[in-house]
Amino acid sequence: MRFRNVPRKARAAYSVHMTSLREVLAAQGITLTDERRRAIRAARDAAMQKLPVARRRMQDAVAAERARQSTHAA
Amino acid sequence: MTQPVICLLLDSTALVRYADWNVDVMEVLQELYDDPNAAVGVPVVSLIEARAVVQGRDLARLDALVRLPEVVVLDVIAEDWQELSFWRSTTGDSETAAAALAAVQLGAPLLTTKAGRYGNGQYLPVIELS
Repeated sequence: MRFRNVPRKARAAYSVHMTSLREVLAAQGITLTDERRRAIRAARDAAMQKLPVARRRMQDAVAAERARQSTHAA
Repeated sequence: MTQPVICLLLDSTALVRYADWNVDVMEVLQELYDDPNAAVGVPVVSLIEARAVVQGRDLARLDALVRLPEVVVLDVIAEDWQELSFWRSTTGDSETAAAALAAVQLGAPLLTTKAGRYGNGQYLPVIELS
């Protein structure tokens, strides 16, 4: 299912002059299956669970680097 | 006026796929862009990288995307240099570093076609297009 493109008809309905993302998406005429909808939500939820760890890793690394720099400066 | 909430970030690979009018990107946008205050974030470095590889109609669609009011092009802030440096050493290039930092700072998932660029999404809130 990779690289599926929007059908030609929907492409024709699209205009670069559309003024909102909702308008662009509506022009696609895409109807999500329940399965696809659940898969996207699950992917989003799984991604978001990694956020606290990512944030902590970054904060710890930056704190360690700042401590190293202040030690060198002293 | 209510501040928009970034619900999804697109890196350069996702932007290129959008410009190619790919259904998978549209489906994710359609499903996750569901809040009246929602916005889609595009790190400026990702936009630059995407624009370097698309042309013609694809480029017009990409440029039209970032002009939409619900799409926010995100700056790289100089004072974040240490955080960016950390993500640069983790991911391997400046674009992914900027995208990773945006995801962490904004608390939004990052859409990409190449999770491998982000350590296979092991530590970062990445959604890989399939």
